[in-house]
Amino acid sequence: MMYLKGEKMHIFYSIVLGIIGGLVGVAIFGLSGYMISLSFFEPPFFLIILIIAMIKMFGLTKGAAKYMERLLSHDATFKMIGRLRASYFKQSVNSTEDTHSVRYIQKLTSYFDDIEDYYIRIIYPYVVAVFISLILTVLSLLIDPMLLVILLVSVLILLLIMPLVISGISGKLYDERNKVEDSLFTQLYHYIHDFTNLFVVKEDRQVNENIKATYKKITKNENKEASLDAVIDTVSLLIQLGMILLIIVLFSGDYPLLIPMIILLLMSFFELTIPVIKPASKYKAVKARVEAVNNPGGSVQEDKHQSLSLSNMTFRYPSTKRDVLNSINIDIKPGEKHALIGSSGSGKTTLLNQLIKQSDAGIMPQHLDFYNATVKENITMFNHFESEENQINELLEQFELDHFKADDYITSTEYLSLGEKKRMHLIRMYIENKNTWILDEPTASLNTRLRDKIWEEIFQKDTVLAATHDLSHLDRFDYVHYLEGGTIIESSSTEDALDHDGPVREAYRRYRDAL
Amino acid sequence: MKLNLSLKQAVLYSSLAIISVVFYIVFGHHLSRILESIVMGTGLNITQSLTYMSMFFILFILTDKFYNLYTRTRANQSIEHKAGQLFDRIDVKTQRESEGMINALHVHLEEYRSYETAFVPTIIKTMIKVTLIIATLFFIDIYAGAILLFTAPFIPLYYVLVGLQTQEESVKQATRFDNIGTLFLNLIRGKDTVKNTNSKETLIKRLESDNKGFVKETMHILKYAFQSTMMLEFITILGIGLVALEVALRIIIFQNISFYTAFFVLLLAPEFYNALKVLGTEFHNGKLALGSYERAEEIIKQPAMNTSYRGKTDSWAATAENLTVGHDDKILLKNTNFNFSKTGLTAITGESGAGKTTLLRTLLGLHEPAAGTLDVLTTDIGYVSDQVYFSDTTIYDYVSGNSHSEEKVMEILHKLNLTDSIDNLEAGIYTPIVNHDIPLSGGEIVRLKMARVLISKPEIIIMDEPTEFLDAQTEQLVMKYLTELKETSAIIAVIHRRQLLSIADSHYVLNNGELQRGDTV
Repeated sequence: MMYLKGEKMHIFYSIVLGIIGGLVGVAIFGLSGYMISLSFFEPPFFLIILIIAMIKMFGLTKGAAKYMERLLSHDATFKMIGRLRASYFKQSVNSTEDTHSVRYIQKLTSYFDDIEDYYIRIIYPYVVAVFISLILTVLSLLIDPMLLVILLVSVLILLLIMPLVISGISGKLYDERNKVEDSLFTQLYHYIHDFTNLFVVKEDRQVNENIKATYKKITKNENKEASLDAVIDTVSLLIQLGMILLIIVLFSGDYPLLIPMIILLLMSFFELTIPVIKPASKYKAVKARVEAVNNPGGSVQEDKHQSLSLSNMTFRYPSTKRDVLNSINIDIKPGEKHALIGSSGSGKTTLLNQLIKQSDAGIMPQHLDFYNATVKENITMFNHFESEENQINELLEQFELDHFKADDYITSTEYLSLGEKKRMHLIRMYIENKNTWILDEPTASLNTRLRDKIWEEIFQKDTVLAATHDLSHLDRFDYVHYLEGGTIIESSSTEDALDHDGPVREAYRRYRDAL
Repeated sequence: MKLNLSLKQAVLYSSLAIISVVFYIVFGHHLSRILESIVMGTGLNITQSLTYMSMFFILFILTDKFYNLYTRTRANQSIEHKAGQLFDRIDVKTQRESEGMINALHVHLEEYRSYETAFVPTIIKTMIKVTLIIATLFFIDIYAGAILLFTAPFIPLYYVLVGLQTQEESVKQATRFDNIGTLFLNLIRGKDTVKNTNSKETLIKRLESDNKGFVKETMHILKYAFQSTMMLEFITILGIGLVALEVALRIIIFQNISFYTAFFVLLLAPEFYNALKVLGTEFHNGKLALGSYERAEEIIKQPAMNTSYRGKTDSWAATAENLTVGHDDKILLKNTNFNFSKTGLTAITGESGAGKTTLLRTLLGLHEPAAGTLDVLTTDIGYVSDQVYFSDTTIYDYVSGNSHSEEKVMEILHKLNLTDSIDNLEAGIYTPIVNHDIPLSGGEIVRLKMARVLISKPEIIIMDEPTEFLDAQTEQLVMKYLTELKETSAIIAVIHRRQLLSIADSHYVLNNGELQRGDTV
């Protein structure tokens, strides 16, 4: 119940209103049953009118209670989810987890769906049903202790035993479903991204068939859920029938007048509780998952230095057995411009990431992030940096992005090509206006003209560290480092490196040889 | 609203629903008679009646649950079919909109599922219920039947009047909630940039204020929606109250109604109104679910990509006549003829963006030309692309493609000078590649991709920038191997470096929509 903080009162009220609404609904049935019996024994006419008036009043109360309950519970849910999202975001910013994979995002989405389910469809209706049942059970004492026993047994079976018994099955179905969806997701993701290769080796049809076979498992799972629902309903309705029979047999002698009322009460009571059984049985499984995803990765608090240096640094990713970086020594003093070169996979990005962690520089990471928002919001990080629309439009024009305007809406995934992203992010850095820039492949996917423009912008900065394959402006850097297999194998002033035989000069020569 | 159901199925569903509702009504009949006997002492054979009552109730349960189960199973099958249609739409272009496809399957189709599993069956059952109850009541108490008939139209009418008005807005709000959710997910995904720019606090405020504004507006809309539900409740209770009053009046004042009739009427009337209410609320959900399907349908309705446009030739690796290739209205290759030889290296160069990769894709069968003919020697083409994507696999499975022996794999790895680096790995060639995490350097990955293609010595090999990321020594080695290979196979390669041009047998330059002969070095 730790999520109830701000919305506690709302939820409390909606539970109370839910109970009132439910009880009144049950009472309406009971009263009408009582009315018929009574009518045949020549009661005062006003009594019947009174009962009918009460039925109507109850109806109005039920309607109003339901109305308020729904308003409150929805208000509370939306606020709760909003708050959970904000706090999840707060935590995740400092976490070390890589959140770029679609799979991660997908899991997060279903996590929030689960939370919604957890409160709105599992806990809340169950609590309401339990309270209504208990109140009815106690009230039944007014008629006969035997009725109390009958009701209590029904309540125990419906709200305790059945959910517990089914819990195992429905938990299994739930886990099974999550597993199949995970595997479907992975297969689909590979199929989409590996399509060219699969088509060329003529395996695309086969993979398509495999995915369809996996989807069959989802259908099977859905069908199992349907069967489970049918079984639950059948069993509970049979119990209901048994109870009706029991009441007729037990009480027809003692309270013939009350029988119609009791039976209608019982029927509406069952109508109220049966839908709660299945969700309640999922409680354990869903709870486990909600709690499992609750904490986004371990978080690391980094100290920010002003200096950019690593001494004798060795690094490996927690899951791997190989050092990605080996005894790295690098020191970038203010005012210096450094280039980091080497083949892809040599560890350039990892090295940059180590420096990014400890610096307060303007960053162009390998993976560029954009958000579903306007161009201006994307560039100013939702107005975190100050900039006028005019200035943004001018910059867009300068970097040949004038097919976008500052107030255009873009989405994170579909609209921008890699080259557009690079330029858009550069504008972001320009407006952020830091003195030091660290850049990972700033000119990839761009033509020569745009490359030149980007380099011009980069060399305006005091201090620069750029990892790049594009050696067209190498001679303008003060220092160059050549990284191979996680080790810096050459590190010197650019002038020296280009003067002497070595990996830098070899790479430069090969770059010049390009067509 | 369309039911997405064939006539045959609709008739079958209706018949099943009729059977189950009739069982319920007969159950109500027996229950009313039993209660009449208990309260009024009409001297009924209770045991026999109880047996009938139980029997019909059980029959009702069984048919009703069978109806639910059957319709749901059929619906799941239909959803599976629709998912299949989605899968069949996946082609080379899907990668650019991969999230759209994944969402269509995991989000929109799932949201739509309840339309077929619950909405359609409920609507059919409810219609039948409403009709049969009214018919029954006309038989046993014509006045009650008249009241039902008179009050019933108010419910749908009310829904049409109020419901339609709020519906559009509530759909809009649902989309907006989705958008706020998407921004949240975007921000989580792009958290590194948030961290790098120190804009965390700004964004938290933004998320909070977005949500606040959303809650305020949504609650405003929901108020109307819930008010309409409350009004329905009131109309319902008014109807039930009227029926109760009618029954009471006839019992006490006119004394022309039996207990049996009275109870039966009061058992069925709420069922009737509840059914109408369900119809009203479900309508709303149905509309939303259908909206989700429309988003998946957009993808399903996209024209399928034609991949069988290539003809067969025996004289060339590939030959084209008046070939025009383009993207939408941008033409990359115009009215071009070419013949690529069955052996030797054909080099293609050109500015970036000129369409070299698209030309390769056209040869591979992945990009249908706008006009002209293209014939190839074989469709079994080996392709070394400039992109790296590894499905979860092992190095051995990747290279062998499940059709070559370990010795063969080791042999090709040796030829490409990969043996040492792979032997250094934990599990050698059985090292798994998971989540795209390959413990190799860029140059090694390029050679691994080559190994996979070259192991089966295909007649045509297509390469996109094959020697990028290779150091000089490895480049020499790869070139030596390619020189050997081109004696027996056609190698068509997009190249960026002069070095490789030295072993090319023919050279084409792609420029401004034309494929011209270039110099060989």
